[in-house]
Amino acid sequence: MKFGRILLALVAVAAVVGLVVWFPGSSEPEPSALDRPVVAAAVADQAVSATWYCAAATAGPGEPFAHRIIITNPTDRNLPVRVSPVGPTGPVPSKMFLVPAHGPFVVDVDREFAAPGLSASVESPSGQIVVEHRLTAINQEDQVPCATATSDRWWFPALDSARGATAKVTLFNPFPGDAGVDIEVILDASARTPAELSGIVVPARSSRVVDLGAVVQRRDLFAVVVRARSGRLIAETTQTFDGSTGVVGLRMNVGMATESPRWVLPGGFTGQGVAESLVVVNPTDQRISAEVRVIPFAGASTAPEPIVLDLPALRYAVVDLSAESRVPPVGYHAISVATDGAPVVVARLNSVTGPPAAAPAPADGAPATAVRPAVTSGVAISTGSPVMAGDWLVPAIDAGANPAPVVFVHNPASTVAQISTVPVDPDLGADAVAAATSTIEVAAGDSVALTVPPSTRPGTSVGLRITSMTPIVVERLVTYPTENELAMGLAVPFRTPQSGPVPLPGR
Amino acid sequence: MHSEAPGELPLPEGGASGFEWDLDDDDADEDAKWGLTTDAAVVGTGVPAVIAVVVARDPGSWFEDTLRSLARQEYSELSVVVVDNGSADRLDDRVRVTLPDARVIRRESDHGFSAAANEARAFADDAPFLLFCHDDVVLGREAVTAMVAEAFRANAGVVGAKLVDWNDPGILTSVGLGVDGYGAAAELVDPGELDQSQHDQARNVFAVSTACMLVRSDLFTVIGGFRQDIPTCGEDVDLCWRTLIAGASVQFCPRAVVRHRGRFEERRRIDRERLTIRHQARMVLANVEFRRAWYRIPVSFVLALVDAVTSLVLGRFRRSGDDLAALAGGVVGLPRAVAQRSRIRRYRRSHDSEFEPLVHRGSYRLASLVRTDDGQSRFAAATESSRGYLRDLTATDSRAGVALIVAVVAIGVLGTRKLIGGELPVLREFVDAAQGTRSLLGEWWTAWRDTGLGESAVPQPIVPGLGIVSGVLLGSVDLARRLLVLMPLLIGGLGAWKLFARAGSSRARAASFAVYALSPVLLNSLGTGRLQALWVWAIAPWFLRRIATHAGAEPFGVEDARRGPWLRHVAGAALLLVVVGSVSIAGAALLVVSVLVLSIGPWWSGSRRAAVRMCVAAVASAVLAAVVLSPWIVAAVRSGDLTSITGIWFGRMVRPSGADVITGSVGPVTVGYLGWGIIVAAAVPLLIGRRWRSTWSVAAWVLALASWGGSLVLVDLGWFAGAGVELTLVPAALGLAIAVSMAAFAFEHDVVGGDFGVRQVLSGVALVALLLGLVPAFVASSDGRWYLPQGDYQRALNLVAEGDDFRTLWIGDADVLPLAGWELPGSSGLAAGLSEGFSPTVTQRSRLDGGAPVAQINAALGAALVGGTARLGQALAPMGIRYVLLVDRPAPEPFSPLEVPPPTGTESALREQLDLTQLPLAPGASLFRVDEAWPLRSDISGLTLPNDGNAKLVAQLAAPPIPAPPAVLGLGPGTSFEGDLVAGASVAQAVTSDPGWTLQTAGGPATRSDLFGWGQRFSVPDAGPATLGWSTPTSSRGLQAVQVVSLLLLLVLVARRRPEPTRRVRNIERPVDFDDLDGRTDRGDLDGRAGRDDLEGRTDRGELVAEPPADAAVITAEQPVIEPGEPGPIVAPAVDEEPS
Repeated sequence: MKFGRILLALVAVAAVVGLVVWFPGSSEPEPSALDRPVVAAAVADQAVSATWYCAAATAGPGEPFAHRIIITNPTDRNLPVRVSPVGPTGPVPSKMFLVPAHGPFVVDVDREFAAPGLSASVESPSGQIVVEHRLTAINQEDQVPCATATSDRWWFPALDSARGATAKVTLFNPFPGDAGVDIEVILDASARTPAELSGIVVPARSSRVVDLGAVVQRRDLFAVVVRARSGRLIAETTQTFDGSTGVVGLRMNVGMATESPRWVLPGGFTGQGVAESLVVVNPTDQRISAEVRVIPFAGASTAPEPIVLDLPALRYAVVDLSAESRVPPVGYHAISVATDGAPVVVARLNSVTGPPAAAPAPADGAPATAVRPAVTSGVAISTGSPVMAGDWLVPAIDAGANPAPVVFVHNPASTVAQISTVPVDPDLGADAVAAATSTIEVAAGDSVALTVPPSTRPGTSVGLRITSMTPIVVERLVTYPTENELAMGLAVPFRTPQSGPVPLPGR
Repeated sequence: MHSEAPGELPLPEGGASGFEWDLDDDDADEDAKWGLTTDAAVVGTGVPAVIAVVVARDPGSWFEDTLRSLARQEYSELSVVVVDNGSADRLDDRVRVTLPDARVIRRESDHGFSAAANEARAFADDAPFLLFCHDDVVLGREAVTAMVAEAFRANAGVVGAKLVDWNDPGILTSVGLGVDGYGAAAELVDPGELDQSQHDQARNVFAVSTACMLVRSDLFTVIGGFRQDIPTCGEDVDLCWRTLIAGASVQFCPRAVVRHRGRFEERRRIDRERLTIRHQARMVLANVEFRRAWYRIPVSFVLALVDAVTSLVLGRFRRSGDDLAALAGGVVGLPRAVAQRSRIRRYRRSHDSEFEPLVHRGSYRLASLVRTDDGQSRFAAATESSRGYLRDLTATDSRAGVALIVAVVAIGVLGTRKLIGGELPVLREFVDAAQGTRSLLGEWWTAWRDTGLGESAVPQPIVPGLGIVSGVLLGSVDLARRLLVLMPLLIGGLGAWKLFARAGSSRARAASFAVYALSPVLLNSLGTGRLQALWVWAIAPWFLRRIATHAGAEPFGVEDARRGPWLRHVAGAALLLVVVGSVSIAGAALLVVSVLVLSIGPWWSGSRRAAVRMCVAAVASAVLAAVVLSPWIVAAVRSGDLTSITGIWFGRMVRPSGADVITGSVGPVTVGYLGWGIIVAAAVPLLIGRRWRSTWSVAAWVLALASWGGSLVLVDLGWFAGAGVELTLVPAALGLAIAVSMAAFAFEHDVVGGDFGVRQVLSGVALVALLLGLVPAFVASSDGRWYLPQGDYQRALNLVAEGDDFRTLWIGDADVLPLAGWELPGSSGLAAGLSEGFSPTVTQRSRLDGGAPVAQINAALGAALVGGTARLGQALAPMGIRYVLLVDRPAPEPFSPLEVPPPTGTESALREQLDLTQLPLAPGASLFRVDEAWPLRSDISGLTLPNDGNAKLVAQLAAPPIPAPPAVLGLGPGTSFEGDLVAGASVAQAVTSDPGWTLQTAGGPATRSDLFGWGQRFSVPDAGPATLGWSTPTSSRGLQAVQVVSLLLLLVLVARRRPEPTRRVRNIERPVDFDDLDGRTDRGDLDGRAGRDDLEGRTDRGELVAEPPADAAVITAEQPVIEPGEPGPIVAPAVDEEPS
């Protein structure tokens, strides 16, 4: 047999082997996911319209809560906005509002639609508007950004039905199909779906309020997950505290539709009269461990050793940061939660039951230590952020409030973040905006607390646009001097291909 | 043996062909009345004059025999006129030698027998009878006497003789013609039927042959002679038919015995079958009485269609084409038929019912489908020819090949059994055909494609092609669709079998057939709904064979062999490419490239000219095919959408590995390690082959490697959705079939006969590997449908809604959609497409740019998917989109286990739309109903809309929700609508805005304006009836004309007969012994004469002989080379002839 023939055969065999080796193939379709928001987010582009869902319209028993929707328009043109409320009995005719450029616009839902307790969806032709809503009663006030996405699963890690507390969940179904809902309750030693919370029907284009406290009685902490058997909805909890246990205030919490192995809560604080705790829920059916890091601002003190939590399946763990000796007793800190890959859901609870201690005088040349807001009562809940972004809008801050609202900026990245802040205020001219624009640096892994400057018109709300080349996480702390209350919550990131949001880096 | 019937007299001495006859009593009385007795033949003075009209053209030496037979007639009043019908050499001298008294009429050109015979009208007044004769008949001495006597006896208008074989008068060739009601004629004797006096009884018949036909002169004048538009092949039937119409009779005279040579096709380049079919149509249109025409003509039309389809199925493509051409010709020639009917009406003396008993019940045409031209049943013919095949195949050296073929056929039938009559789901490229033949053809004619929201473009040829097929199948679109899917199996299998037909190796052919017909690529194409791959697979071997054979590339052909016209050859190859290109233009290009690659084989083996010829022919055929396909290509180029030509899109489906691609395990039919057996077998000829076996195996491997490599690159990039990787693997399948065949060739040429060694061992390895490689296909055949899903979405969707008065937006991975979707920007392969109703049709399997509506849909859907809007329904509703369907697999569970889930969050995004309501459906699909979906045409007068309806999507979505307006001008899709409209109405039409649409109202055309930036609306000026219609643009008409004309040109080129080479053969035919007519020659005793069979190298029993008889013929001109093992070319018998 000639060498040439053997060579030909060898070439053929080599080619076949080469193809086999170089192309291993895949046994599963290439995974893909849409770039959908996991937290409420505005859209800088790609949007032809935006819809925000404001579910909770009432809270505890007794006097009614005033429901206001605050629409922040960061664009430079007036935008028509349609507000479509629904109540337990169905939809109410919608109304159009023209939201002025560069500023918040408040819609008093109760007054505009002449009916209390209305959930509402807000539609706009621009994706850049940001919508939040506020419930107000005597000594009870809170505000949170509304939801931009719906889900068939909503997590509420921290609820309280102890004495003097109410816990209600508003189920808002703005869609043309009915939704069937189960509410599973997770206690410290068990998880169950009570019969009263099973198979709840939320008719199309209506809302329904479920009193969790009536079913889960006298529990100072429990978590729930709202699962839709069919349809989709928005769920939001409201909790009131009447002071029976020393705590007074209102907590609003739009549920988390997403579990994540990594969370950041930029604006925690401790101090005299403050109780702070962190709840970590394991939604999986596996035992997992989670690591909690407390990161004091600006290196005010050495970062304490991480706290490691062992979480059984479908259970939660609570870290009482106020009582944790490793956590500095005074000052702002960010909190980072990370697991070994298993998703968790977290919530940070803050309550204030007294005035702050006098701030110690800073040493010469040393920066002043930031302390907690100077309110004497109030409750707040924050569920943190599983993402970071380079463009945030802090909506509807009462810049004239005293104590002044605070914006927390955390830089989870490993490089220095240069952030710039631009006020979104309809009353500011271009020069004033330029003058009010500032740039600061945030070290890698560090955080800063920005005090919002007074507005030209005290008592009115303004927004704050925060941008950074390096992705950051922004949280807002609002105080209500008249109600002696506070509210905390994540700012709203803008979604762009350039600035994210993107998931937080691994631990 | 003759059996004596009651009343019959014994046969005379000398048999039936003798000239003595006895008459029964009735005949005797009748003859006595006319003064005729057997004792006193009508031969003397006083008998009516007869003029014999002999039509001759370039007759052979037999012509003198013809003339002599006329000269020897005992009938005294016989004169002869020879019509020289344009002979190359004038016949005057030849006639003068034999028949000095005969008159010769010279016609300078041949316009057919009829025109020549009609010269006799000039002498009609000179004699009561005209005797028409061919130039190849020899009349018995008393033939004219007998025919005249018969004419008197039976008062017949036309009398025909008993025709017997030229060489063997004991064999009957014609005793009259049977004719059915549709003009189809058949001889009343079986081929080769011995004359045992069984037909020796004078009788009325419907028609007799013009070979020797006596016609009453006055009748001939009255009916106008022969129809000159039926120059031959039917002129006898037509004349006799009109004779019957005129009230005369046609009589068969057994006592007039005439030897007829026949073999007309050997002297003239005519297509008898084609002419016969065409003339049948003319006769039926003209001759059938009006009171019967209303059903005879439609039934004739249907019979022609059935004939065409059946012929197509039987592989008799030429016959099928002839049928269709005859139909078209019938339509075109309708005015001429009307004129002819008018002429016939003037002399009609009898109704059709009066000669109905002579009409054959049933249809000869249908009978011909099951019988061959020589009267043998096709089953018997197939059996006989198969016997020859089997005799060859079952020879000792071919048994393995036969066993392999039988096994492969059995596996193929077993594996496809449930597809033949079972469920054929609508999935991927196995789309629904359409609403019907009319809509398919209408789409081509109007050049308005129902894809997206409609666009102005001539559809892909598969659309009208399917329409024509379904029309031929009497409107059965489902059957046409089934044929579209399953016919490739038959065509491709036959192609593989015939690929090496000329090489004469049953082993190689069996190997090629087995490897190609059971290729996992094919089986997976079927199992996964890849129509493009199926048709490319089907045509590939035919295309290669045609190109390589004509190029003279060994073993397909012989390099120095005589070749037919190049253009005809290229046109044939182009037609093959047109067939493929109708389904897959990319596939057609793939075939061309494959041939170019395979030309390496002959090039390397030294046949450079053959290689170049292959390349040139392949490219030229591609150019010709491109002209036919130009409307689609132009539209694709104009839209800038390359994927509309390739049919391949990006997808996220499972990516087969290199091993899977090489073994063909790219679908549900997996071959595992056993599949490597084919690869091993294909590698063997690289080692053991010599000469062309080696070079062709190298070429085949290069093709296979290129196909595998290219496919894997596409797979790696994700660009194999739609057509599937199966399409690009077809060349590999072809390459493997060639390589394995080369192994068989190498075994026969290079191994057998040699000493035992590595080659023998490798041959054994190849055989074992081949058999092992076929095992997986056998296992997979147990499924009965090659794992093609048994169900589709249609069943579940039909529970939701039926009809086509709405649109459905399909969303899913490009590889699972049953239509050609547009990829959504930024959605990682997610695609969306529109169907009318729930069922995607064949036209929606091919896309173009889709126009502004598709851009609008993409924008709205893209925004909805990323949370950019919750009002998707508001954007879709005006488009008539009532449903949005998200699918994650080609067929719902449990039919399809193959899942390509849409990107995470897709369903959530749709579920959170405020104006989409989710409806329960089968697993694997999410169905949403769009709130307030508009009808396809609606009256929007009551809506508050800006003039442009909000051209920008943002503004449209910002507006309050719009209630659905009422429908007007009908509900379904189409291109022409009518209805009543009120004055001032504003009509919105949910189609792509195009000025070709006009709304005509009582007060004139309505003003058209754009709506929503993509659609259109009309402002109606006046109340009353209105018509909304589409006017095909001139550019589309031009493209259609180019397409039709180029296709017809290709068909004409292909159908054109190849000119026979000029040949001159020595006259070795025995002079005719006139006495033979009185006696018999021994059957089969050719007395040393070389007949046609001998020249083909066959004995009269059909057996092949090693060599033609040495004295058969001396061919002085170029002679085709006879391939070993192939039947030789048909050569005219030993005569002097030189046809022009």
